[in-house]
Amino acid sequence: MSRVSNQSASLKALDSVGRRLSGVYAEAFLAAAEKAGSAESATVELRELVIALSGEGNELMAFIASPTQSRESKTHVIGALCKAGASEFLLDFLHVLNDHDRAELLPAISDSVEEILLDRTGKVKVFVTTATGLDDAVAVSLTAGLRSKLGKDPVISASINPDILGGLVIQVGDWVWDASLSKQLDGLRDQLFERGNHAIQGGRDRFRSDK
Amino acid sequence: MRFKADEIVSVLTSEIQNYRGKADLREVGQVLEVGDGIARVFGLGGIMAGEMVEFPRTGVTGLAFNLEETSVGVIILDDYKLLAEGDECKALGTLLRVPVGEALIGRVVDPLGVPLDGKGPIVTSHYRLVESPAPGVAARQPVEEPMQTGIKAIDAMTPIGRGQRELIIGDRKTGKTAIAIDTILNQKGGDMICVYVAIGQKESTVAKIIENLRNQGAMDYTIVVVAGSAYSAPAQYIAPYAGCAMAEYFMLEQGRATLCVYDDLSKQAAAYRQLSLLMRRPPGREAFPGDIFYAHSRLLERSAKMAERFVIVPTSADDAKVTDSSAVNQKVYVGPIDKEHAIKDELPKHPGHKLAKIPSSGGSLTALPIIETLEGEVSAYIPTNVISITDGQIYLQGSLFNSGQRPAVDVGISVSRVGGKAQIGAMKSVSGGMRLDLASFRELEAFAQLGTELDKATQSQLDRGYRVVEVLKQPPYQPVAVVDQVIIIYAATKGFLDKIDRQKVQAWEAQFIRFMREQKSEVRSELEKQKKLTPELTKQLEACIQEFGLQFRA
Repeated sequence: MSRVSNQSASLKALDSVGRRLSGVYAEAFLAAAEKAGSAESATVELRELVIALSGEGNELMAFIASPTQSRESKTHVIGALCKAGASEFLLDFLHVLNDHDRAELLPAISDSVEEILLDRTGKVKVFVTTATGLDDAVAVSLTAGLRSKLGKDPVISASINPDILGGLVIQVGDWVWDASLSKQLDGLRDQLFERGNHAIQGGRDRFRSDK
Repeated sequence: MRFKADEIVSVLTSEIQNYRGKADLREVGQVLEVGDGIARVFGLGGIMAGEMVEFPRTGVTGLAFNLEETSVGVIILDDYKLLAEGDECKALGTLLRVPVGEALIGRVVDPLGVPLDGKGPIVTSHYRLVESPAPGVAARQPVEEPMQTGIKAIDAMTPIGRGQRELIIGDRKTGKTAIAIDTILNQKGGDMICVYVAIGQKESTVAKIIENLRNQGAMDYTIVVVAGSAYSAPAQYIAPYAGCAMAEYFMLEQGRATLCVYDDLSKQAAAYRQLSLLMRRPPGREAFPGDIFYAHSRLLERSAKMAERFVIVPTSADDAKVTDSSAVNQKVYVGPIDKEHAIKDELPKHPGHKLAKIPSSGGSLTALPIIETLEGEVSAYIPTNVISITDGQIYLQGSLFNSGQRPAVDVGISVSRVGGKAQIGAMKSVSGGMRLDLASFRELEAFAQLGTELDKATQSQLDRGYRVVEVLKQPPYQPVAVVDQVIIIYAATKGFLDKIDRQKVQAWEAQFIRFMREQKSEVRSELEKQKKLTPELTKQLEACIQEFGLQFRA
């Protein structure tokens, strides 16, 4: 996989229809939560649920997402979650999802909710990839720089990829700003190759009688 | 030949010293699904239709083809099997271009201009967009200059002009490609650059064609673009546009005459249909997409005879360096009418000056598209489309081919809408009534087969017809110079061959051409120079025929 694969794993696994659907459910989730006056707590709860369900060794998410399991058996599981202390609102939402056979969208919806909230508060998620860890001083200046450039508050999600050798790669939405060392070396290699070709061709032309 | 290694090292050193890497800003998306030469990509929200994309992991390139609400349909120009779901896809911000220029002449390339002949990289600084708009009305002038095919049946009765689009249509195995190859071979020693685009053909067939061109020295002025049947549908689809761009360079930048053969557009249409169906574009008649007509019309519309541009410059000026701005009166004369006006009215006002043609003007691109029909069905969708786009067509008939009439041109239904303007005077005068004569001969021939007794006049008309038909036969890959064509057709239509045995007509022809070249070269070269049959030349030519008649031994 390439080094700019920063977009959340749940969204990437979906096709374009799934992405659109998760956006629609996320909007509905937020609107309903706001009406119930519990937007913030519901969002946090949703995220925690997704993290808990998809944690390592936990097969519950696979069960909920599986199309081979019947709606009824999923309803039982969701009911059991209730006993684990989930709020009334979240349970209702899970039941709605289940009734529409969209339970597998749960992680994607959580990501979408987060994106919508960021967007509403004038923030934007920025993925930064570096070869070694991003130190604090750089992070601060990067945040300031991005803020003036984007006109929005950047929320930096940092990751480390030694393959880029040095420099950094910044991704905002569909746009990628690649200032990595490996990219520069690639460019230099291509340029040298091309110039070398021209030099060789030039040398060959000098020896040709018809030119 | 030796390369100076230290020279190359110094070039590279300065290259490294001066390298200023810029951060690379780009738009990216992820591959959702891939298969059959297409990919569906999520993201790339700001991409434009027709923009190039790259899949950085594999270096594969593609073209944004369908822009949909939530995804982008990409056609993949290299091997799609290298791609995987989730791959990054980046927009390159450019349109598809191919290398063009002198470096391509004599080369065999794929539709992206990558060499296939193992003769090293193509080094050129010239590139052209694969899809570019056709020249407008103002930039053109009427098609009047002949483009000789070297085939008697065509040059005499369906003449092709430089800048014309002449369709070659017929069933499989009727000699369509042979006509196009003959035409390329016939340009040897001339000023034309030829481009042969092979679309969806067997590699073995293409290899044979290239071998043939090479053997006859035609690769010195020919570019071959290959998108064989093993190539992906996108490659086959863009191949004719790429070939056209390569020819356009010579027409527009250098003012040269070019010829582009698209062999064949039915396979290109099938490739485009495959792409469109995979992209879920709605199918129309014969399942072709709605814009299949436009796919062909925008390609063929790029063939043109560009207007010649003239300027008045001092007599001492170098013709090769004349440009628009070198005009002494700041005026550019475009086309034949302006030229006449300039010579008559303007030039006398500037003594010591001359009218010079701007070297990059007046180029031409002649197109020979080929369409394969099924069972002679010309009313199918693609044939009717291309027939209506082109300026005429050459029909090849399987029945004629099988009866030994090769090239199997059906002169009755083959037409050229440019007509006699694209013929030299001599050819026009000898071939004038030929088409009608042949038509009435065909009628008589059918009648004569009933076995009825024929009167003498009818019999002689039949005899003449048989000889003319015999003269129009021609083996493949042996184009005939236009002067020789005039001489032979003159002899046949004026009845000089009536006494020759039908089976010996071809031998007579071959020997007579040799006789004229070797023993009567003064008559031949005079005809070549004058390009028309003056009464004086006619008399000399008849005398030559009489003289040869005495020494002809079959």
